[in-house]
Amino acid sequence: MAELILPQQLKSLFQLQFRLLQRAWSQPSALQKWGVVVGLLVTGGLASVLGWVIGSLVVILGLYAREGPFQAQLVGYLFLVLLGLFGLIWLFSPLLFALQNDNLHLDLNKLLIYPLSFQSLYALHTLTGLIEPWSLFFYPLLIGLICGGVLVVGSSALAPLMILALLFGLVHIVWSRLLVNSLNSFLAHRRLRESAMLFLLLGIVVLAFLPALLGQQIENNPDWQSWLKSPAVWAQLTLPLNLLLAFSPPGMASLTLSGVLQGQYSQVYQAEVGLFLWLVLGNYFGKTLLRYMYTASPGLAEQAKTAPRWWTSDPLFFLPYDLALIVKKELRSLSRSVIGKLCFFLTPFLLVILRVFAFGPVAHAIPPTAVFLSAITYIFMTSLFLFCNLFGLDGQGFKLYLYGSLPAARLLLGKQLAMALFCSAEFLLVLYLYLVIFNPLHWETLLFVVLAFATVLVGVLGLGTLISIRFPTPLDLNQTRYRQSATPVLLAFQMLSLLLALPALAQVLAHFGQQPRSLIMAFFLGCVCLSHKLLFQFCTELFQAQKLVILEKITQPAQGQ
Amino acid sequence: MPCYLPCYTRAMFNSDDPTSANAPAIEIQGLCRNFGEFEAVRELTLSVPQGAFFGFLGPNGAGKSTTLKMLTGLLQPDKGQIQILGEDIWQTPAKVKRWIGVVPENMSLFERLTAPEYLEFVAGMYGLDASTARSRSQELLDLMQLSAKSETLLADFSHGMKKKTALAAALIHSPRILFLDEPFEGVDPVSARTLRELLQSLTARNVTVFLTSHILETVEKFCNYLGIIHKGQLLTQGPLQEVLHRINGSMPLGTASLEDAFIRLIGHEREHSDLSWLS
Repeated sequence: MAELILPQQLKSLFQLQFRLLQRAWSQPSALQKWGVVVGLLVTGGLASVLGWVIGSLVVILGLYAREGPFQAQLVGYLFLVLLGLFGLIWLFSPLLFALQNDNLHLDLNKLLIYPLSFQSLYALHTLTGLIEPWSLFFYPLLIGLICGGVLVVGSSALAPLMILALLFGLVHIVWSRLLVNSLNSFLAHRRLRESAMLFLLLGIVVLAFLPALLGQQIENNPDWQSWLKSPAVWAQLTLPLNLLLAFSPPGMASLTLSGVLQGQYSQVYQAEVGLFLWLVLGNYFGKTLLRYMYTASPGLAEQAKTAPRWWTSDPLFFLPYDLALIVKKELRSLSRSVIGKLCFFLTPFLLVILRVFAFGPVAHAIPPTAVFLSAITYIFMTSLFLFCNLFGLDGQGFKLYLYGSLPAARLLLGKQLAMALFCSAEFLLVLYLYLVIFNPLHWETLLFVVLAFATVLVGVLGLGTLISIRFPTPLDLNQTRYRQSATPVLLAFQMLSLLLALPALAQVLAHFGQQPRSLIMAFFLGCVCLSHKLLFQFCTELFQAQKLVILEKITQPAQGQ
Repeated sequence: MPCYLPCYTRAMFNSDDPTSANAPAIEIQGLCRNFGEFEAVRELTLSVPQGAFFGFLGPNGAGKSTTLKMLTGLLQPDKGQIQILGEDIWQTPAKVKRWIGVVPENMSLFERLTAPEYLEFVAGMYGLDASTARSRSQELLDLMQLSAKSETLLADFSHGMKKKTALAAALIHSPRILFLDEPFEGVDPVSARTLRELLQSLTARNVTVFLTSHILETVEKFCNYLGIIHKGQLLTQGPLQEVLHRINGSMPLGTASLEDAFIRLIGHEREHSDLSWLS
C-alpha cells in the first residue's frame, strides 16, 4: 500500500499543475493572451474539421470496402496511410516543445524527494501527456473514427472502437514521451543538444523546399513520370505495406477499424491485443529509461567540454591586446550560442539550396549581383537582433567591464569589430560557395558586392549599437520568456531596409548617370563611414551615461522565472 | 533553549514507523558511484546513530553531494547498501522517504509558487490534511521570518530566502532524519542562528540531522558526530571529540580547532604559491 499514490498527494499535484498553468497565464500581456486565445480557437476549429473529415472518410471508405476484397484491401492501405501520417505527427509534435525551458510542467527531478514510488512518478509523467495540447488536437480524430464506425456498423461497433481509440491514443502518448526522453538522454551534452537543434532547423528549411524540388524533378524527367505510373512500382509497395499493417501501431489500428467495418471481430481483437503489446513495450522502455535518466545518469548537469584549439598563434595579433580580448570573447560567445550558429550558417545553406533547387541553366541565369544582394539581405536580416543586442549575451559578465578601466569607446569598438568579423566571415563563406557551386565572378561585380556589403555592415553597426544602448533588455527567443518588446527590432528592420536600398539606388544612379556603379557604391560607403564616425562618438557618450541602466536591464531576472 | 518546533506530532508515521527503534539512523556499506571514469564515491562505509547531529565535511568536489543524493534516493549507487532506520532506501523508496526531510543542493523549488503555496504542496505530498498543512506552514514561515513575503513568488526570493523555504519544506512533515546540503549558505546570521538552534532542539528529540557544510565553526559548535570525505573516500568518522583527537594526535585537547584538524587531514596536498606578483 505504501507504494500507491495517496489521494492527498494526487490532490496536491493537481493543485500544483493548476497553479503553474494559472501563473503562466497571468504573466504575458493582454496581447499575448489574445494571441493564445485566437491560436487555441483556430487550432480547435482545425481539430474539429479534422475529426469531421475523418468521420466522413470512415463512413465513405467503410461503405466502399463492402464492394469486394480488393476494395477492402485498398481501404485498409488508405487507413494505414491516414493513421500512419497522423500517428507520426502525434509522435513527433512534442519534440517541438521538448527543448524549451519548461517551468510550467511537473518536473520529476523536483518530485523525486517526495514519498512517491517511481511507478507513480512514471504514471504521472505519462498521463499528463493526455492533457498536452498536441494530444488534445487529435482527440476529435479519435471521436471521428468512433462516430464514423458507429454510423456504418451500428452501436455494436462502439465498444471495440472506444478500446481502439483509447489504445491508439495511449500508445502515441507513451511512445512520444519515450522519444522525447531518449533524445533528452542522448543529447545530455549542451553542445550536442544545440547542434541537434541547428540540424533540426536546417532540416525544416530543406523540408520547406523539398516539395518544390521534387515537383520540378518530376516535371523535368519524363522517365520519372512513367516510372511512377507503372503498376509494378505499386505492386512492389504491397509487401512493405502489408508488413506495416501487420506490425505497426497504425497498421494494427487500421486492421481494427477495417475489421469493425467488415464485422470480422477476430481480426479486431487480434489487432487490439497487438496495440496493447505496443503499449506494454513502450511502457517498459519508457519506465526503464526514465529511471535511468533521473536516478542513474549524471544527467543534464554534465556540460560539454570546450573544443580543442586547432590554431597555436593568435589570429588577432594585429589588434591591440585589450581590443583583441573583447573581440575574441564576443566571437566565442557567438560561436557557442545556437542562435549565433544558426545566423552564421543559414545564408550559406540557403545558397546551396538555391543551387540544388535551380538545376541546370536556371541557376546560371540568375544574375550574380542579385544572388549577392539577396545573400547580404539574408545575412543582415538574420543577424539583426544580434547587432541590436550587443550587451544581451554579457549577463553578469558585463560587471567586469564596469569594474575594469577599459574606456567605453574601446569596449564599443571591440563589440562592433566582433560583429563585423562575424558577418564578414559569413559573407566570405557565401562568396566561396558561390565561386565553387556557381560561376566565376567578374572582378567588377565582386568589387560592387563587397562595397555593398561593407556599406550595409557599417550602417548596421552604428544603428545596432545605438539601439543596443537605448534598448538594452536582452532579447530572449525562448518561448516562455518575453523580455524585450518588439519595437527596437522593428525599428531596426526599417533602418536596415533603407540601408539595403542603397546598392539598388547605386545601380539605378549608375544606369542613368552613365557612371560605374562601384564608384557610386564607394561614395555611399564613404558617407556611411562618416555618419558612423559621428554616431560612434554619440554612442560612446550615451553608453557612459547609460551603463548602469544597461547593467540593471541585462542582469534582472526574466518575467515569470 | 527556546522551542521553535511547530506544535505537531509524528502521528502520520503510525503505519510506517521504522521497525527497529535501535537501528542506526543511517547505515552505509561499501557505497560506490562513478561518473564515467571519475570515481565520485569509493567504498564508503558509515554509521550514524539516531539523534546524532552529523557533520559531513570535505573540500569542493570531494563527493559530499553525491553521497547525499544517494542517501536520499536521488542518485542510484553503482555498488553498496544504504539503510535508513533499518530499511533499504532503494528497495522501499516511498516508505523511507516519508521518514526523511531533504534540502538538496539545488533546493528543487517550484519557483512559480509562493512560499505558503509551496509548503502546502509539500505537506500534501507527505499526506498531511489541508488544515494541518496550513497551520504548520504558517508556523514555519513565522519561524523563518518569511510571513511578510507570503504573496511573493519563490522566483523573486533571494538565495537565502529560498534556502529558508526549502528548509521549512523539509521540516513540515516532522521527519525522523534531516538531510541538509549546505543549509546555511546564503542565510542571514539571525536566521542561521535560529535554524541552528532549531536543529539542535530537533536532535534533542531524537531526530537525526545529517548536514554538509563548509562553515567549520558551525559544525564544530553544533555537531556531535563527524565524517570527513576527500576524493570520494571517507577519511575519518565518529564522535566529534574522538575524531579531533585522532587527527590532532598528541596535541593537548582543546588547543586545535576543527579547521586545523581538517586542514591537517586533507590540506597537506595543496601546493602553495606565494603569489609574489600581488602587491
